Amino acid sequence: MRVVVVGSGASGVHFAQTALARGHQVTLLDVGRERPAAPAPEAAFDELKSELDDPVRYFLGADFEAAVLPGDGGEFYGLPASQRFVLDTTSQHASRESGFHSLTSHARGGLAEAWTGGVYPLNDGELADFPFRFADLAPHYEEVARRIGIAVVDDDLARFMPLPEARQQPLALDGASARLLAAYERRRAAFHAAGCYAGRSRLAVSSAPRADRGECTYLGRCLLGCPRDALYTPSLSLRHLLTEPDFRYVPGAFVSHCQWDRARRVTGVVVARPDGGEELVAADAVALAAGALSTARIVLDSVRRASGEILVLDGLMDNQQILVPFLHLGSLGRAPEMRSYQYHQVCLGLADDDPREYVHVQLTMLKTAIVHPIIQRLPGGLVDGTRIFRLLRGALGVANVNLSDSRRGDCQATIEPRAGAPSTLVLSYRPAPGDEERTARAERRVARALGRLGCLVPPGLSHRRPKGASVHYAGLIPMGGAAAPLTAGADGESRDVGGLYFADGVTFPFLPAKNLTLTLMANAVRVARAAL
Amino acid sequence: MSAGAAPALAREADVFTAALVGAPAAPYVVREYVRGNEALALSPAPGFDSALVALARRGPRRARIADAYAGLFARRSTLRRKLALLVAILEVVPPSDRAFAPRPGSPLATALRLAATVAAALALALAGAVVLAPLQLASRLRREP
Repeated sequence: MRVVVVGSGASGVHFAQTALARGHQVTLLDVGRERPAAPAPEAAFDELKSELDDPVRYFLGADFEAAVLPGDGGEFYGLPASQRFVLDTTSQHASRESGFHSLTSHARGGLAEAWTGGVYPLNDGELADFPFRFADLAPHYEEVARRIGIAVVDDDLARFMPLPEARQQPLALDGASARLLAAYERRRAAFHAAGCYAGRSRLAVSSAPRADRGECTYLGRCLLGCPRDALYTPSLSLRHLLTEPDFRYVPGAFVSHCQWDRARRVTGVVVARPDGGEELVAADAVALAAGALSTARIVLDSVRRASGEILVLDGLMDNQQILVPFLHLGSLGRAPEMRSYQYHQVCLGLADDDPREYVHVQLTMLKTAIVHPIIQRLPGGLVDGTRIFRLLRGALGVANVNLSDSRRGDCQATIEPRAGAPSTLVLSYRPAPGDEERTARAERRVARALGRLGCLVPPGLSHRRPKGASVHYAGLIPMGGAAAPLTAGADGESRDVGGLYFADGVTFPFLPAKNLTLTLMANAVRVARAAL
Repeated sequence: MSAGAAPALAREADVFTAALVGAPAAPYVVREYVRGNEALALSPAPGFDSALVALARRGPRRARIADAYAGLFARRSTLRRKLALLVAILEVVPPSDRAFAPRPGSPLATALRLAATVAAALALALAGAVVLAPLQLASRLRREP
């Protein structure tokens, strides 16, 4: 069968890999911005500055685009210049948004090229709205765990996230994270009484050499893009796919819409050329895996091309994220470990009577980083701020708090046609009733948990990220439920067009607080296995 | 940015680097600072914003006073944007990157150093307020007749 996959992100590459394993010919269409080569791949973060001829250009960009200045509205961490290719989009993409600030990636590997590696299976409570249970998804989680490598230990977080059988040894803990976990162990009963559980982050990072990737050697360059490929990204799967004889990769392909025949069976997809021309790629089956927003745009444009109708899709979701900076008093005066895994190593799970209200918190202690965005956020001037920062550096951390989201009728996607180009995607998002109270409650719970860990949470520095910033988009073409237009069956196939499959988060009927990337990959494997 | 701006920016880089890391700016840092000011269009607005930059240019000590004041009362000023750009450059260029390295010590020593730094910062901000607060007030009054 000729299978066309649209998009090389977490969903697309795992759908493609599964389709190939089942003996099909796979063509993957992708815009495909390439990651720049990592300079001095064996140099640690601090050594890298000396090894580069032009460190400013590497770290801050040719036009200082990675410099974060007061008043720019930047966050605690800026996206380094070396990672900006992830958000470098083509002019063929256009969007207009209200209450939402989406990010789009046209990189090989998609948005997960700049992720932090957290992999957290969903449990039955979180899957309640999905047309399958954890037991149905478990074999697919296992397949993905084997493919990408997951470093995990059995700890108190296992109550929220089942452990994979295929697992690697955990990474070495940095000292500050180890002290946080020790503080948790000392007051475990009090934490549990408050419904708070802590443990190690589950990470898609090689802790031992793999056939196709190096192991983490703690270079401290995670934020710049791992030069050893120890931190899994979908472009690594794409690299593997390119060695397969039945796989064809077509970069530079911006998919405009799908086509189908009179029997409403998919016949192929149409690629929009930058000169305004179009090109049909014929297929027996099409898997849309361009990310929930781009997939929605392709579906809406397909309907418009076929019938002239401009439809509206309901149920746009994204996790509310809150960044809570803190000072761990037990780490005051201690030097941070620059040679360590740089992202979160500790997680908190905040339980709720309703499992869908679980709050997921990732604790990142500051080690190596581009620090000027942090210094300028300290009270006072930058000269004294630099001195204060040096004294506090080993004790600074940030909690990334994630809240779940659910589908609502007033969070929508539609399109506006453009002459000679794919349509503009129009998004509107409105917070749910009670959202403010729910977010404030989560902030209070996190502040109390951090207090129990011996952390000081400076008032007024928490930052609620704008909706869309989590890049966990989902929900516009839900799977399961009653058969209706613009929905998908339990197997991910469109209920409107035969042979058209949705392999990304567009079909998720609920968005749990945990990072969804692992579940995107497992669901793509599930859909491919069911479809092909 | 005018053709004559580069020498002024180079002098500014020297003064601000001395204030931030206590050492002269390397030629590469100066070059990048000038380039960054041009790329990010960091020109002060007329009035108090310009006065703040002008005071800071007059030497590292005055730069510290102006910065301490701006850190409390003009957090989005051009002076702070210029200093943040310079911090961004200095932190990625050896050997000035060492000025951002952790300064370990016992918790007590760290707490004492912290208290001393905060006290010094407040004293500088107070000194800045004597000169700059009337200027800022006058600038606001001129804008809002």
